[in-house]
Amino acid sequence: MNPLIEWQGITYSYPNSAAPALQDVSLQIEEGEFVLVVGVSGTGKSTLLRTLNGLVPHFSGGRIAGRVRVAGHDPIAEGPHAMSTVVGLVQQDPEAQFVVDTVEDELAFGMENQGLPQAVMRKRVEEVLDQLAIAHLRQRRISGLSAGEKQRVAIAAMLALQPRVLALDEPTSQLDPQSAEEVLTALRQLNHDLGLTIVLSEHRLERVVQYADRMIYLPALGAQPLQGRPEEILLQMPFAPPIVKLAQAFGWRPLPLTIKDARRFAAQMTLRPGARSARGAEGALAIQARDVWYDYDGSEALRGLSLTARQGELLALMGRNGSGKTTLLKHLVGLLRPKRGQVVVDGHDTRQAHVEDLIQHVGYVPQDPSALLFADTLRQELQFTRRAHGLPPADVEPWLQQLGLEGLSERYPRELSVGQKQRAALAAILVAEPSILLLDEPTRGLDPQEKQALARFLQGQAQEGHTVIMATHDVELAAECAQRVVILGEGQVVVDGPAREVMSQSLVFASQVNKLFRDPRLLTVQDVLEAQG
Amino acid sequence: MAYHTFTWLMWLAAAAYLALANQQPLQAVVLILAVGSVFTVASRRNPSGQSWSAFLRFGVWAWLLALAFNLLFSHAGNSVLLTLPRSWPLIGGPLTLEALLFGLASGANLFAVLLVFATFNLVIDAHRLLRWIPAGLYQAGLVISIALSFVPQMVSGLAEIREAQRIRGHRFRGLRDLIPLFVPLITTALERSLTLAESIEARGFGGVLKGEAMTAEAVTTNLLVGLMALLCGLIWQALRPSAAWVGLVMLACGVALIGLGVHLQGRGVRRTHYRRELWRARDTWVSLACLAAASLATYVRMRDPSALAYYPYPPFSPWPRFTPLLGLAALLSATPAFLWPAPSSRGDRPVAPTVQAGRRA
Repeated sequence: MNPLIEWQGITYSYPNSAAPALQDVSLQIEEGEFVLVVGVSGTGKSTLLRTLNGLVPHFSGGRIAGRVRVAGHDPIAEGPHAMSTVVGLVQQDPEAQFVVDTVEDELAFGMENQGLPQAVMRKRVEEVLDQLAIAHLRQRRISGLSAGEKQRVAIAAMLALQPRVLALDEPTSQLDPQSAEEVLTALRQLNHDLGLTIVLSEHRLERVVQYADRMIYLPALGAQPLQGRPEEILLQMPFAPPIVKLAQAFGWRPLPLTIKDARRFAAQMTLRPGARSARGAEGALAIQARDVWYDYDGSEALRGLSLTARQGELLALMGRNGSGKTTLLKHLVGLLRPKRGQVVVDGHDTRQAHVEDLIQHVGYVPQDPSALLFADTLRQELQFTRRAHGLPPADVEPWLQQLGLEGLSERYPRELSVGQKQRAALAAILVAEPSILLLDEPTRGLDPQEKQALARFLQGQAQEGHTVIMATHDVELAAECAQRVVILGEGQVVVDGPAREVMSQSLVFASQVNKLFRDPRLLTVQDVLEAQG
Repeated sequence: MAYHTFTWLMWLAAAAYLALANQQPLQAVVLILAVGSVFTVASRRNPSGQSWSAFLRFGVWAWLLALAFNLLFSHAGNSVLLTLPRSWPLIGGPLTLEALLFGLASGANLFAVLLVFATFNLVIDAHRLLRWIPAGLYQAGLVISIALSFVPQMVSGLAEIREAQRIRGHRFRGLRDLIPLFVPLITTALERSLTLAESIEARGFGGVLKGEAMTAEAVTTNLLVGLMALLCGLIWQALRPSAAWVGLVMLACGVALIGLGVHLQGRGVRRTHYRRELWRARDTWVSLACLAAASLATYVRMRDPSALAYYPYPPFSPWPRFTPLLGLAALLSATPAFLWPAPSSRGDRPVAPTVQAGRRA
């Protein structure tokens, strides 16, 4: 049987770029497979996906050589327009790809373009609404949906065209654990029940690896990709989900990919976890929020929230999308002022202090780094912050080095990769030397290695006596580095406690290692290795 | 929404005609009340009514401004209310009743026009209107609709960027400080529009072309020749008004050719519509009312053009007139408010057709 998708010796370079993004890539995907595409950021995952429907090279320009076949079509010759019924591509930012404003019309848009009869459209809309469990949203406006709902609508809109292949570029990078699970479950169901071929790129392996039949690993820019069963590929990769790391350390075979499979091995282990001291901080009180209420034109975002943070503390703020994390962070830097209650930051009451005074103490890195970056070079970007804070000019190189951005100081910030941009924004805030650092979703778009580096960096900041508060969906990151975890729900603090306690008593927020051993003393791979002795 | 798109277009035509043709303040007030009742009912059913209320507050300010300007700067008229010292620049001199009345009237007319368009925007969204654009012009229509939805995105994007830069210490002191705000705004907007363009293309937008390459050429030729004919006709009209009929023939040919071009292009694109709107009894009633209102206004206008015009300065009487027939026409434009269905009805939206067979088991 011919493979459904076949790349034959594809070499592609973007315009104005010397190094090819894909170098002599030859891969095959069979019909009905669930294929996971992984690799550190900037190694061509998106490029590979976009060759499937001809967006590369038809939209991106550049030079391409080689052959791509998708279900008997040639996307390079036929172009994205003709490929629309063969390949459905869901891009990274679902919001940017919606054309019309209500869910039902969005689902019908592609079919209207195909000129399908009304009765057929009606039937297919019903079907995809059911398949993705979004029938209750059919008449809603897309702008009012949550991130997870938007993602499912974007997938449904592609499915309505009944493509042979569904390709998704990091579909869960902006979702909280619950919504991500919902999206992935829906995808698995499409794959299982309909035999739909799914090609998906993702950074958070622990979320998806158990669903994949095969993996494609892009080790570096222009390097030959590896392809095979997850059990084979994972062992050849420099990063892996916690379970696989454990399996590698203890030689568990066959390689377990799910908690269920790994528990067989874990049950035979005898661990002596030491009574670990909670990673608590004893520093002075840096942040104090008391009974804070806030609403956006009547819709309540914070409802009597109280929270304190000490110097030298690294705190992870978790909770569903829309639970009030960003609103809380904005309160801590004085961008929003409580309608009722009080926020005291480093001794300043935010209701009386000016933002200009507060930012001498607090640094805030917003979710989208592109809201910050504007200068021609990274160096100018950092110097601007120092000037704006009234600080004397300084050599910015040490800050860049700290964040692994050395050698990039003369680059145009907006051209950097997602991970680099994220760190550039962080550097642009850090040069003002704040004692309190607030980060909103700092791991969005970061690959596992960049995330590791960020975790170590933030721990270092906390050890130097800074207060670090990060809002994150990333359970493993929080398990890795946070001392305290605060879970918000509906604008209130639901749980507040040491990371070890909070993350081991939760269905959703427990780390993989914790789910495996069910021991509050074990959160990370490191913990297990130490307990082993 | 409660009515068919065509019904709302009829309503817009009638109400806008009344608002634009009329200058008499009393009739304008009746029209404002009538259209205002439609606006109130509509905004109660539509959450986005809030933003249009802000637009109307702007309208009230415009009204007051028109009043103040006219009163202070136009010193014509006989009935002096108050005299400011002549030495004051511009505003010095008599303030007259006529100027006050004229300011009030022109403000009322302006507000009536604003109110009509605010109401129409509240009840109809651009996407719904787009479905009725002929297939040949659909692409142009989509571009407009995307541009429309970009504006609110840009506004919210700007707010986000301002916040982000502010906590970075950015303060607005001069024009140069706009750079940190506008560079991220523009680049982000461009990046987003590229993604959208890709997405639209990847979802087969532009329809499936049935015809051969010849159709495309025929369309282009048609449009080109049509536009040339239009242009020549206009130039002829301007230069040789004595033989106007030649120009008129050219103009007619131009319009016909362009119409044919659009029609041909529409046939070349195969595109279907998912929604089907229902024409209900209340649509018939509202349309008839709108037709009646427009006919009444036209009738009065032909019989007595001065019933609609208003000029309070001497030698005319400063006091406004009121023509009952025009008042009735204005009141008729309130019909949508009274025939509006009860809120619970599910028929508030255009419905998709029912499935004949083959519902998923």
